[in-house]
Amino acid sequence: MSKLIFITGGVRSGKSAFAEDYAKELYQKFERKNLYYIASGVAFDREMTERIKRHQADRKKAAIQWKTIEIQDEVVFSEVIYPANSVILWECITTWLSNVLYKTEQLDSIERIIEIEKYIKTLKKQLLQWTKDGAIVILVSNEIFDEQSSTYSEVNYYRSLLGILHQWIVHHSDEAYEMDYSKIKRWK
Amino acid sequence: MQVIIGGANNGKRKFVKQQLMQHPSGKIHFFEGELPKKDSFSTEDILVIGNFKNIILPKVHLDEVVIAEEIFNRLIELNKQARVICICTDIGRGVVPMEKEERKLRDACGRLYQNLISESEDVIRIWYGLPEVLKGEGL
Repeated sequence: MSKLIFITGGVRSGKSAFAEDYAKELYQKFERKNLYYIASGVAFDREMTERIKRHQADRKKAAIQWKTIEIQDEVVFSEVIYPANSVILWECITTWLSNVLYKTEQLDSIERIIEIEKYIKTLKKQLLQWTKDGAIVILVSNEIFDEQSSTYSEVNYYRSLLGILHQWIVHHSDEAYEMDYSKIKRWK
Repeated sequence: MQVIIGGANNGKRKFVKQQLMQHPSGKIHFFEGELPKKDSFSTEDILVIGNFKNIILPKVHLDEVVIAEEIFNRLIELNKQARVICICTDIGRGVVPMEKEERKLRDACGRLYQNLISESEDVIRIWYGLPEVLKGEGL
């Protein structure tokens, strides 16, 4: 049994709560041994530190214990994950991709594009491998595609990378959800 | 007329291409950021028109309603000759832009989309490649 689940929505749409509840539900339903939380948020200011703390506190309060793994950019794991007995929640793809963009900032444009593509390829490979090996994977991301294109090329580049990545994820997903104001719309 | 609507980078054009390839029904012409100028299309022709932002841009000094009407009327004209498919990129959900011109552009775009959607037989929203029929049938 494996599953790839994609959840996206606007800011404060309730997607984290939904994703975490759903992960716990699947963890119990399929009698998995591990519940992983892959965190990609980087605390670059006080507000972000508070945000991360709030998310951590929420998970600590939970009856089921999460194992948190931090993945900022490199898709490399410090501990062995056994996909077949795990539920893996990754929050979120949006921050992971922006970390990758920051990380590669100093490179020349062509070199940078190649490097970024490499990161994305590694991510895709990892996701496919997990689902092949029986993992239940839930990916959370953001909706940032319904406003005017930016005057900054970096922002537009980021948006197009993320949009294309979302298309890929949705294509490979077993379930895909869009959240708006806590209302859940199932697309797939 | 048919409308494909969705956010940027959601695979709207890819969807249109896939659908038209599956059921070939005419000669496809793509127009990005400009309206077809000539008037000699036939019912065999399929006009896929996208990037309305750039179509509006040269008219941005005009009144919002006038901009939307001018473009809308031209599309109605074209739709009498050929099959028109409009690719509408939703740009109305972000923060109100600081620049006056950007605000106008956004407003005119929204106004035009309303007209197009009300006129079209089929309206399909695309979300990362997946279609949702909002009105009528599929493509």
